[in-house]
Amino acid sequence: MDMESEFLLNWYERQLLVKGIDDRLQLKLSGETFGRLTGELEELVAELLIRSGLSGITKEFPRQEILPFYSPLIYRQEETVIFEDGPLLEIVVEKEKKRISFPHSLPSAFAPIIAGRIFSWFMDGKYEKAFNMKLPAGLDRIGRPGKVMVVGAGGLGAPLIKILLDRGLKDIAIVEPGEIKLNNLHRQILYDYGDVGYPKATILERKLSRMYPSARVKIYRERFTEALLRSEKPDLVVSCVDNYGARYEINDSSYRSGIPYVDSAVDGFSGYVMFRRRGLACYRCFMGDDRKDTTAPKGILPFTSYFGAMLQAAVTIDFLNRRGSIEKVFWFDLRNDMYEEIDIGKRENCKVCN
Amino acid sequence: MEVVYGQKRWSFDRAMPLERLVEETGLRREAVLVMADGRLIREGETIPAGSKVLIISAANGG
Repeated sequence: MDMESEFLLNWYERQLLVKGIDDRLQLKLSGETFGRLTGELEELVAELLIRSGLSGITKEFPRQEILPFYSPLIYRQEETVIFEDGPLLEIVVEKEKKRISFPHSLPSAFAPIIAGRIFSWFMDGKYEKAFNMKLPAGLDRIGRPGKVMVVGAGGLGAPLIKILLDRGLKDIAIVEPGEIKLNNLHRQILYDYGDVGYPKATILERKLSRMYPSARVKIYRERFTEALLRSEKPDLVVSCVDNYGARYEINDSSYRSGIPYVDSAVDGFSGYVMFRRRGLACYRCFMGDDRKDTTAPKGILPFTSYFGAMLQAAVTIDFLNRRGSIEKVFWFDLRNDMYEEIDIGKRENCKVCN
Repeated sequence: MEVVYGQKRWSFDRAMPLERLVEETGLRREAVLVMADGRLIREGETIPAGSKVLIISAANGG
């Protein structure tokens, strides 16, 4: 294996853990190239696919700000993926080029769905054409002041923080004790290749103060605790952590403190988002009391975690703007194009919510 | 009942306790949750014969 292939496979090692993705597919994807694009939706779909391993760009590629992240960058002369507007998703192969059309009128929240379908097509040649799914909330501008505490600034948290601040959030507390690692960089959109090894909190402090000078951003380089929640007193907590234990802690603390929270978790192509507050069944009623964490790394695709983050942001904005709350769990599977609402009743013996 | 888990499909013509379903689909060692007709099913519950069952990963990644 040549050095370039070896580097690419190291870079994407986490998504090679996902069923159906192997070295051969990952190296095949790296042969694809994006060029000139039109509009925000095309750019976001392309960025999510680039982060998933479609590695080439031409000099006309517009979203140059992702380049510091993109160390496996391969500049090429000619694009192989061309996006067009159309009523449905259509993928047509002409010689070496893929002409991919999709409705450009779709909201940006559909970008991960489009990226997921295109990625799936590269896996097995199959894809859904229509976009009939209903998402739990829309990604509006934030119109009312409010304070949000985000716990975890990784694959879910990094895009969530950016989406909320881009949409006008002015007061945010971020809790993140970890450091930036190479094998997750492709999903964690606020960090670059040069940030690897540094504490996420340090990098966020520097970048967010530059990107959003008018926002009040407070960053804690420590683990989440109930004491921290009670001292910050946010209007809402967003849980972007990567283990059951932290989710139990956020759930229990939020219910005890009477502060609502939004949780998401992802795995491969699928995940869920849910809004919880006193009066609703809690995380323990959904997941049970006895889930155990392992140290094994999880395989997660960039468009999956981005979709989870977008849905969390939409639910957060809905809550801030009009105190909206979704009572059901919204579950999605971008590989099989499934979207379901799940009813979870309270358990009779739940020690937290009942 | 029609059962879906990712790209796998099963069909059973009888009601079944949750634990039995997980055993028969070979998912006993997987971290999964089971839904029937849009509702979460808990330990000890029996899933009615005609249900549409969705088994999902008990995701915890972030």
